[in-house]
Amino acid sequence: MAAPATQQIKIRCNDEKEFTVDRDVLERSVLIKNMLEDVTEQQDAPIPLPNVSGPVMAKVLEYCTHHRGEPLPSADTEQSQDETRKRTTDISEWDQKFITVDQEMLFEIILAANYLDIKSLLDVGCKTVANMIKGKTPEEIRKLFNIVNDFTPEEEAQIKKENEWAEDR
Amino acid sequence: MDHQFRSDLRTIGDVDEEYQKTVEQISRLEDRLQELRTYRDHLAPISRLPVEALTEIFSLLHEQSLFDYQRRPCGHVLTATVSICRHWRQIVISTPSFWTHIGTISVPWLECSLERLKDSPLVIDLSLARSDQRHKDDSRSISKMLDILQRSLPTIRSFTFWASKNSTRRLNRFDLPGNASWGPAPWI
Repeated sequence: MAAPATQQIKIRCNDEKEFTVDRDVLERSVLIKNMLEDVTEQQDAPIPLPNVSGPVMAKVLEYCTHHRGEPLPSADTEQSQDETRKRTTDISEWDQKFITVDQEMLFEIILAANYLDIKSLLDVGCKTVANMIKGKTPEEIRKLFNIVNDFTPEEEAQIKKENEWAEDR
Repeated sequence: MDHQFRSDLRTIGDVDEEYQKTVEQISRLEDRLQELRTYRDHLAPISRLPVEALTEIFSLLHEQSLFDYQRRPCGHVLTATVSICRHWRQIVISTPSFWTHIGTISVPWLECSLERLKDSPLVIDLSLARSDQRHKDDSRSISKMLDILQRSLPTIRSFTFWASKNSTRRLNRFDLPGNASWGPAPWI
């Protein structure tokens, strides 16, 4: 018996860019999965995604296609992970290569993963930023993210005091 | 002569006024500069991330630092992230889970953490210093810390002393407050 044809779903990004994607790939996004479950009849109109641009969606789809078929994290697994509290910032080799993008795109991917509710992609993005910060001094972190020190002299003095208190001897 | 004197006084008065005005203007400009710096940070690409994502990133770093130090927490991740900019500092300060580990013998740091951890359970891991002088200071500080803990009654998840062989003996010299009673809090 032939395998049932995979349903194709059309989506439209905020720059009018459209993608036609296999349903199981798109269902990596809990947002889209829920939208599709709510729709009982076959619809030809593309699903509008007003918070994601075409280039970012292309990256997101690359991720979803690679990870299609993998179990989605459930509320139970998230809770048990919370209890053990031994999360690391390790990222698999493929994900590492996938997320090697410029900062602008990295943050866009995190925003898209957050909006589309793709927990595993959000994790990869957050871990990547955490790894960028790890081991750096405040000045190096500011330089990396193009942030300036905007503290008042009073706040600076308070921070200095707190740093001395917290110093690990 | 008298006329000259009055003229000089007026000049000095003018200079004082001018000086005062300039000082005030500098202060206003400094305030404005600080506001502009905050606004500039707000425009930085990383500031587009929602607070939840930044909290998650700081959380990963914090947990990693606890793990790296074999459950001996150190403040360096917190002190780095709270020192970057006002936005980051606000996120770290208002997230109680970042303040639940006390790994430093410091009374003001304990007070600061207690204020920020709200009702979250506290984990205390303290290491006694090896030198005699520091050890005396530490004992005094620990005594004060216990006093504060007893008064503020936080939920304590665990309280661990890490000590070298030499300092283990000296733990016995340490006096607990007479009426210490934290119920089920385990003493490891």
